[in-house]
Amino acid sequence: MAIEKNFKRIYREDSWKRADHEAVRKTVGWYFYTHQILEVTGEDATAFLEYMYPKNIGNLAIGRARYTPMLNDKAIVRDDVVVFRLEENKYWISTLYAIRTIPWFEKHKGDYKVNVEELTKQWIMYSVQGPRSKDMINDLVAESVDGQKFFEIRDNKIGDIDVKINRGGFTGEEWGFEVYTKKENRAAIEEKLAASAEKFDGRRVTEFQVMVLTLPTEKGYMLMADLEQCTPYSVPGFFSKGINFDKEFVGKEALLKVKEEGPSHELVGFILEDDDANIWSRDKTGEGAEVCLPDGEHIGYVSRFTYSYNLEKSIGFMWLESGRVAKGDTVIINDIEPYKAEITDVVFF
Amino acid sequence: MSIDRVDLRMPDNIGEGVLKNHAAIKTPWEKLISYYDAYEYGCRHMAGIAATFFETIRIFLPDYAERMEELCKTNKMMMKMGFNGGFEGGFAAVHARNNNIHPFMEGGFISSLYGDSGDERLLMNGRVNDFGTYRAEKELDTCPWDILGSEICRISPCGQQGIGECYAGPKVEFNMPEARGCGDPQCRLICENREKYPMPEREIIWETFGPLATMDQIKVTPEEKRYGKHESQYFRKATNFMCRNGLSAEFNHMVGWEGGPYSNFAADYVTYTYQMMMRDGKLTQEEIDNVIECVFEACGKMMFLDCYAVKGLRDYLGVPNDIADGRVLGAYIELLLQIARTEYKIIAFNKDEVIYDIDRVRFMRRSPMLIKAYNALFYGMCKTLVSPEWFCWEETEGVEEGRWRIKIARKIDKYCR
Repeated sequence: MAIEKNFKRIYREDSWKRADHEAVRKTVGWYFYTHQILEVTGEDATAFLEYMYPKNIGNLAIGRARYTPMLNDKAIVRDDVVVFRLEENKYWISTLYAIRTIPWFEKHKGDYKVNVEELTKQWIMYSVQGPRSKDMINDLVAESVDGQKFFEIRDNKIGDIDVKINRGGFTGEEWGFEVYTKKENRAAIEEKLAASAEKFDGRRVTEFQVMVLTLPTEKGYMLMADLEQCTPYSVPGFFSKGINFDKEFVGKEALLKVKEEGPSHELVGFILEDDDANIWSRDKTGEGAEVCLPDGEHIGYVSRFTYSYNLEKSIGFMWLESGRVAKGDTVIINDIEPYKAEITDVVFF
Repeated sequence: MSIDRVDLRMPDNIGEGVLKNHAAIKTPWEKLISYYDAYEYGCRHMAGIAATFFETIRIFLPDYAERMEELCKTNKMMMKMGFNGGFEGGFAAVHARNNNIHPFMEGGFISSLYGDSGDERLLMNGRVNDFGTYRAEKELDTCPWDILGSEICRISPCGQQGIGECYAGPKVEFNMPEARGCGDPQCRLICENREKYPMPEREIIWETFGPLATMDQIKVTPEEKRYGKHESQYFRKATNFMCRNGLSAEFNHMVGWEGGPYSNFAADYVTYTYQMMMRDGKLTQEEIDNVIECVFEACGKMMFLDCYAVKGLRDYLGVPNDIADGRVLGAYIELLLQIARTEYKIIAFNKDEVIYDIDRVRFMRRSPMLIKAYNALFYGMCKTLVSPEWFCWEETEGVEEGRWRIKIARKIDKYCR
């Protein structure tokens, strides 16, 4: 079978992906987005989590949540999670890396009076995102979410189904919600979400590449594939904001050194000149395509590659040696051919 | 057992700390075979074993279509049985966890992840070009199993299909439009969802080479940028010498070795099919055993028919010039046992006899037919590598259950094969 280099339409001309993406950006998109949930309880739950995460946990009000990385002893990011404080000594941790986090917790549990239970098989979560998501959620719930703050989780009801509604998401939309409910409610809740979405010109999003690539990338949201080998200071923006060096936490000593000396590598955004390329990136497998300076010096790899339907450009993230490039510079991505890319912020619009 | 029957061999702890410790296979004469070489040799050897098993089933099922029907049907079903239940099932749930498949990921495309991490273990080095709910594409630059012919290349997509069908969500169809086993320069596995990319329904289970709806989305990595056989993620500095999938699941070298050089990959395609054919009354154990013995014996004899093959192996194993007896074959067997990370005791190792007492269960990789095959292979090898006066056989009397005792010695057998 003769195969020619082509790969057109992977993103740009893919009407399915475009429709999924634009539903979230223009009206409302809803999708099954269950993460792993670890429930941490016990009289030392707060102290334990303070030690496990570099950002403050103890000052979270009940019903509020915080995004934080989890570090190893070398201050390398091993997970990034959202910690919900549900009660004084009861937390939910939303993660996609329980495979790393659970053993890491076990290793550091020591004498802390704390219990860690995984609830992933009991709870499911739907993400409802976009400018009309608030209208859609209000159409469904017993208690209005009008006054609900970002990263605030409240108990609510959809019909007779008990739910927890968190205002948040992984799309960068100002209005977005996560609906948690027990697994046995899946069919009933999907029926209600689908019916409500129709009223607001919404759509069920099913494309994995939209949920985890096109939507988050446009707004600078990182995946673990981007964060591999990174310290929090490798990542621009809010990632390192709020790290509390006045407390003890795993990786503190190494992170202080990184803070003083600067990270060896940094994550930057890029826009490709050729919007019909298909670049190998770490979010697919392996190390990703090589990135070089125009003189050919190899300075890093592509960690993410996708398409911005808002910019109509191929975009992504790169993991580069620190200080080698600045915004506006041109680098070369060595994929099946050399591609010119312009260095940008990690937030594209 | 008498220690006197084992000629002097330096204990493993002698010399400890003198040189840096490197993982290696060690022959009886201290020749070290590097981790790199042992890994590659182990994979290629198992590909050879698999190729020989495929020859056996070609005897039973000479018609290509009939053979492919049995192989694909069985192996798709085996995968479906193994992964039945998706995230909820025991075996599948463990695999999902190991591959860090996120709980929200739904659809047959998830199956690609199993293939991807498995490829790296098997030195089928390459890259994922696309990974979405409705389409995924993986290209492989190398494949130690590329000597097996076209059958394996048709069975693999069927297996992927079987796994994919165990998951809820959008269904996909797997195809392999390019396959090194058919002579193509690369292998390419593509999954497409037929709701998004409609095509005529596949009517024959083994027609897994296409056609495709998304030919215009294929990405071909040029030859100069492809990986060589030693360049799986386990051997690349850029991936920190470990395998990591796109979801950041990490696989260490133990996972790699157990799923690579130790695996029974592709031979099990045939042995599973034999089991099903026996269950259905199409073949008997005796018929299968006989063909396995015939084919593997012949392969063993052919391996060292040429003098340069003997010289090559002696050099590879570091056999001293004055040794030309059963110990040469013994050293080769030890190489395979060490690659298989199988415990063995050396009962005898001298100019008159070589005897090993081996962990049978570990070596047979859940397939008793493998022991049958190796007994025949070693017997055949013995005839040309050592001499027709020498035999290699399995001793059964007085052997503990779960052990495999191999003896290499001179004997006369008026009914030998």
